[in-house]
Order: sequence, then structure tokens, then C-alpha cells
Amino acid sequence: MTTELLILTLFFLFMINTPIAIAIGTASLAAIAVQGDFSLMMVVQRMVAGTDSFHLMAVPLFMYAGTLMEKGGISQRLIDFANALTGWLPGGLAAVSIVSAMFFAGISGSAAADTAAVGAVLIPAMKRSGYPSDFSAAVQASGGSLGVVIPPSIPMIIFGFLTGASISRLFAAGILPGLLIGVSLITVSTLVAKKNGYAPGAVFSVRQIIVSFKRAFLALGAPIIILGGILSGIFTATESAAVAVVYALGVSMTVYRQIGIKDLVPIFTQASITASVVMFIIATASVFSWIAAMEDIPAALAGTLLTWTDNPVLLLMMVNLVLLAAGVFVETTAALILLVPMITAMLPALGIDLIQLGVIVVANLAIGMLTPPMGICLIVSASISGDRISAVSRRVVPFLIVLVVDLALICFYPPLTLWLSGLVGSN
Amino acid sequence: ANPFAIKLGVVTKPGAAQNIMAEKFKKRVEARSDGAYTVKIFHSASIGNETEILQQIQMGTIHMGVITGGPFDTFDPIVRVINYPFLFKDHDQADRILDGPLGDEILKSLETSGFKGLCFSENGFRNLTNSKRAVTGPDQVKGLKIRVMSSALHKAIWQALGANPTPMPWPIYTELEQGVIDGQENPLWVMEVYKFYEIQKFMTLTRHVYSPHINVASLNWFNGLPAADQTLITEAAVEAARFQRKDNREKNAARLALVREKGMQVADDPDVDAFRKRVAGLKDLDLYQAPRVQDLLIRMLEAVK
Amino acid sequence: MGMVMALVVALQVVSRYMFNHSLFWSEELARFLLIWLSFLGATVAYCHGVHPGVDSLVRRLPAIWKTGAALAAYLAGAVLFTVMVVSGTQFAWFVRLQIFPATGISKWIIMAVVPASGAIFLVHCLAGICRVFDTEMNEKTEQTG
Ligand code: NA
Ligand code: NA
Repeated sequence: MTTELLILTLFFLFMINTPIAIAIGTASLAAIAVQGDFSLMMVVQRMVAGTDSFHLMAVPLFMYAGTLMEKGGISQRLIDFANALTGWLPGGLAAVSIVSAMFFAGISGSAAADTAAVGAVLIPAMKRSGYPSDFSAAVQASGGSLGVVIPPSIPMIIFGFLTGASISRLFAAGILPGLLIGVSLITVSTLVAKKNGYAPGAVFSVRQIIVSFKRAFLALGAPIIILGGILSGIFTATESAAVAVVYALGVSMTVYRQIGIKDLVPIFTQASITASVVMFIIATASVFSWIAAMEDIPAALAGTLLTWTDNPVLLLMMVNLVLLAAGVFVETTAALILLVPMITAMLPALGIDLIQLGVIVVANLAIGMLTPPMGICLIVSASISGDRISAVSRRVVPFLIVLVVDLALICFYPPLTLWLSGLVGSN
Repeated sequence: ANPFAIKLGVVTKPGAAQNIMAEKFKKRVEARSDGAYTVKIFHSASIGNETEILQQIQMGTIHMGVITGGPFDTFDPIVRVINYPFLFKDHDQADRILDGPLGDEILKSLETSGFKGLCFSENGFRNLTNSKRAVTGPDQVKGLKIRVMSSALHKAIWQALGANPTPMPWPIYTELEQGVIDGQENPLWVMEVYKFYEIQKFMTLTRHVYSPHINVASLNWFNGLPAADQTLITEAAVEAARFQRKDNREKNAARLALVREKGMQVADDPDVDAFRKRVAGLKDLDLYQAPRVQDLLIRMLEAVK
Repeated sequence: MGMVMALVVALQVVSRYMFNHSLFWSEELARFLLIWLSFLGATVAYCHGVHPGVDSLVRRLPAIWKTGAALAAYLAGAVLFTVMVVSGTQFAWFVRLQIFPATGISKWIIMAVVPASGAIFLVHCLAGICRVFDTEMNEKTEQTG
């Protein structure tokens, strides 16, 4: 009874476009009220408990770092460097936008922020170079979704928070799959560009690479501090985010001098609001997780799946299908919180490492960011380029296909994720 | 609400000390009551951390919990007397006092906060491990970055011993391995379950704090049960606690053998008197200044002499 | 608030490495800032209408159903926000005697953010409902006039 009410209310509220956080909160609240044994104070306790975490602090901190880098000139220098590296390829600017997204992916932690930051510069540039507008938006959306696989990654932070998996290890595990996806996206964009005759944006020049590298030298320090700090164990993930904020503040205020004291308030306010949207979903979703645990829902759902098959390969494919479907309709944070407890309940039957599972989950959700109706990267890109979402989503199809191939590799070739994370630690 | 379907919360995973207590209790209650009572264990913090579970017991949302001593601190400061450093010399002494009138006094005191204190099971004596050097006395502790729980007492203990106590949320394997912290202090079962022997070279059997679990129930719920059932539940808890303490101690020998075999250097017999001297001033801490806390601490220190 | 949080965490790193001294209050303080920031920030986001939802079905509905869905969504919010205010106040009272170990801050101060933000949410929510009715009225006047 409680379970049915919870799921039906949630579904109904989603359908009528209730903000996701509120839909989850109100549905859980209704379930708690109907159940009858529980104090409504539980809603309050769980909401606060959901946000009260040192690990989750990395969410707003990486968003600050990302915004500061965007406004402070660090992103622009990274983009220039990417341009020197790959701008000479056929459809060069498309490759540039993906490489830039990869640099930026190493910094901001949020796919939407990556897409917005790089897209604001590169989508107009691609259009000026004569690329179709919807293709430019599709490239940018694909590159942006990569942001959650290459660390730092907010979905990985949330996965670690939910399962107790080490966030540092998850980050390390995402590096190689992220590179793989980046290379395959560039391959697709180059092939599409060659076929349609889109021009390179720049000529190959070693001098240009050196010049832009020098200009981007301090900017490159940011991803190096974050990844190096985490991999070597100098900082925890949250601390690396804080250090990145301070570094970005220092570089953009004293070296590049692109932001002043008076710019700080709007920058931090804006990023705080963006972060609080994610945090508020986590807050209400922890009410949901609590009532779900009380009513044994994740175990029951996992049990149902397990009655269909206990073959690990089939199970893993089913998990992927569920995640992909969820990614199509549900916002990333909500999808994580609703599904991860059920999936980890099946971990023994899946027979894979928790860290690898984390990367699989995040990669699935990255693909979900590219699929309508609820594809955040698609929405952001289309709003920058001014195209209809449906036009952009048609252009995204070749990228989606290669992403699914990459996903299969991540699923069935464990060293891709576990080799680097094994260097960080074995627990 | 069905008072016979007992909901019990623990934060640890199956196999951990709290879970062994909880599962034994479940078995006993269900068998003794011929199935009239069922016990459902919510483990792995699926319903919240220990403080939150205690709040849920107060609200009557769940019925029982197996909770370590620390989180009771904010509900009733008297519990911190048990955590006083180097208080109990050995297991026998700990059992004698906690199962005796002084222990009862602590359990009784929890009723003001809405808890029925049933009995004590154990996490065990806490021991120090680190990756830097062999520690046999307080001098070698100096400067070590030791992860401690976010607790004023634990901070004070390690500061008094000259270490650099560092608060850090659990889990800490990666942080230990990468050297963000040098060491940690926990009971022996943690070394086994969390495989700290892979990343820590030195262990010292400091036994600096005896860490109990307190088995608590919601006072309202408990008082509403028939007297015979109250006895049944209390007896089941006491028996389960005896079983768990014995079980934990028997396994400690194997755990020590395991960490040695994995290459850890274990200092069996550190200079406890020197440690105790360093922390002697702690009984004057603000933490112990409330009159009834101070009073119990003094009687406790008297009883362990 | 966010900047203080970043600086507090960074300060902890500096202190640990440069002075080999770990700060006890920093983690707790940063966590409190995060809780307050999450709830208050969410009210601002609600006011700006930037909490994501699933609008693919609603977009295809006829106008009158759209209005109904918008009202129902606001009402769903109002239920949650009312509980945040009422049970939040109750919960803050419930934990009034408990303190956080490292900083000694009372828990009710932290919990108070729930009823406080609940009240702000409610105000925005009522304003939202009024806006729905206003648009409805305007459209009707336009049609008749
Ligand atoms: Na990223
Ligand atoms: Na999607």
C-alpha cells in the first residue's frame, strides 16, 4: 500500500511538471503519512541528513571552481590551447569543442556547466565557420556529457555518497573511459565533417601549440592540481575542490586580472543557486531513500529482477537498460538516488567491482544527458545555438551510437576502470 | 502500529560487532516468543547514522538500536564516563562494572532522554595503528596524524598524548593509504573487516578507550509491553550481549594472528602507565564538570583501582 | 556563504600540511554552511523557477489542463513546504538540547533552516498560484474583450 502510493504519487507529480525535488519530497511525505507509524519530523531529519555531508560539499565547490574559471579567463585559454592542438583536423572546431570539454571536464564537475561554458564560446564560432547550427549544438552537447565521466564529476560524488565507495577511486576510474569517449567522439565528428566538407578552423602549427601552451600554462594548473592532488593523496576530493576554488580565484584575480572583488558576489551567488538545485534534490531524495529502506523497496525490486535471471552478463545488460531508460526521462541526480540503492543490492549477483559499477552508472547517465526529453546537455546546447531540441537530437544520433559502444567496453573490460583506480587504493 | 514487529537499527555491515549482537538478539527473541515477536534489522546505516537512529527511537519511529557510546553524548553526558581513557584494565573489569550497579545507573539515566537502556555489548578496546613508526609509549606518538571521530573527548586524549588528532568522516582506507593521515584507532575487528593491515605497518595494543555498544529501546514502546514480554526482551538482549562479547574476544586472538601474518608489527605491551600519566589531567576537562557526571567518574575511577 | 565554505576547507588543508595541526571546527562549520546554503539557495532557485521538472507531457496539453497541472504542482509544493514549516519547527524544538561535538553549536540552530526556508518557499508558492490565476483571468478578458 505504502509502496504503491509512493510510486504512483511520484509518477503523477513528475507527469504534471512538478519540480523533481518537490515531487520526490511530496510523494515520500505522502507515503510516510499513510504508513501511519512514523512521525512527520522524519521528513525534516532526512532532508537535513541528506545535505549534511562533507563529501557532498564538493558539489558546490566544484561549481564555484568551474564558474570562476569561466569568468576568469582560464576556460578561454584552455580553449585556445585545444584549438592549436586539434583545430587543423577536418571539422576542426568540432574537435576543439570536444577537447575543450575534456579540459573543462577535468575542472567543473558538472556536465551542464561544461556545456554552457565551452558552448558559449564555441557554438557561435562553429556557426561562423559555416557548420550547420544544429550540428554545432550536437557536438557541444556530446562533449559536455563527457564531463561527468572525466573527473571531477558530481554524479560520481553522489554515487560515492550513496554507496560509500571512495570518491577518489571513482575519479581515478573515470579517467581512461573519459579519454576513450573523448577520442571516439572526435573520430565521429571528424568523419561527419569530412563527409559534409566542413572546413578546418586553423592550420597545424607547432609554434602555435607552444605559444598557446605557454598562455594556458597556469590555466592547466587547475586540472593538474585536482587530479594530481587526488591521485597522489594530498587531498580528499572535497579538499581538492576547495583548493581549486582558491587557485582559480588567485590566478584569475592576480595574474589574468579578469575578475575583481566586485565580481565575486554574483559569481558565488549564481553558482550557489545552481548547486542548491542539486542539493535540494538530494535532500528530498533522502526522505525517499529512508521510506524506501523502511518498506524494503530496493531489495524487493532487485529481487524481482534477480528472479528473471542470475546470469551476470544478462543482469548487467538489464541494469544498463534500466539506467538508460531512466536517463532518458529523469534528471541525473534524481535517477542516481532512485536507482543506485536497487542496483547495489544486486552487486553480488553482478559480480563486478563497486567502483566499476559506479563508472557504468555514470556513463549511462551521461548518455541520458543527450537524449530528449530530459537531456540537460541537449537543452543547454540547443538554447545556446537557438535550435529546436528535436533538430539537435537528430544530429546527436551518430555520437550516441559510439557512446553506446564505449559503454559496452566499460562494462565488459574491467581494466579500463579498475587499473587506474587500483593505483589509488584497493578498498 | 504493530508493537510485535520490532524494528532495530544499526549502522554497520553484516559481520560487524553490532550486527552480531543484533542478529543474536533477533534469533533469541523470535525463538523465545514462538514467533509472536519478529525483529527486522536495518543495517548499513540505511535509515540514518547513529545519532539519527537514536532520534528515530525517541520519536517512536523505530523500536530499538545497537549504538556505540559516542553518539549518546549529546543526549546524556553521563555516558562519556565509560569512554574515559585507560579506565578499565581488562575485559573482566569492564564486564564487572558495566553489568554491575554503576552500569545500571548509566542505563537508568538514559530514561530521561526517552531510552530504555537494556544492556551493554561491545565494540571492544580501541588500539592505535600507524604507518610511521613503532609506538611503545607516549613519546613515539608525538606528531602523528591520527584520525579520530568528531568527538571532543577523543580530540583531548590524543592532544594530551602529543599527537595531531584529525577529524575525518568514515571510511578512511584511501586516506590512510595515501598518507593524508598517519594512523587511526579502533577495535581489532575493524582491522580485519576493513583490511587496514594492508596499509598500516605498526599496531600498539594501547587499549586506550573501552568502546561499548548500548542496547536501547524506545521507553514508551517498552513500557507499553506486557511485563512478561519486557522480561523476555531484556533477557534476550542480555544473553545476546554476553554471547557477542565472548565471541568478539575469542576472535581477537585470530585477528591479532592475522595482522601479524600480514606483516604488521604489533607492540603487545606498551607503557600504559606512561600513557595514563599523560592523560591524568583529563578528568578536569569541561566535559566532566557537570556534577552528576563528575560524581560518577570519581566513583568509577575508585572502582577500577 | 559559499566562499566562506571554500576558504574554511582550504584553510583546513593548509593547516594540516603547513602547521601539522588539524582543525576540529572547520569540518563542522563547513557542513553547517552547506546545509544552510542548500536550503536557502533552493528557495531562490524556486523563486526563479529553475528547479528542473519533466515538461514533455504538460507542453502537449490544452491550455486549461496546463493551468490545472500548474496549480496541482504548486499545491504539491505547498504540502511539502507546510510540513517543512510545521514539522521543522517541531524538530528544531525536539533537538533543542543536543549540540554538535566539535563546535558546541546547538542543533536547533542548524535545523531552523528547514522551517525558515519552508516559509520562504510557501511565500513564493502562493505568489506562483496568484500568477497562474492572473494569467488565466487576463486570457479570459482578452478573449471576451
Ligand atoms: Na568532470
Ligand atoms: Na535524458
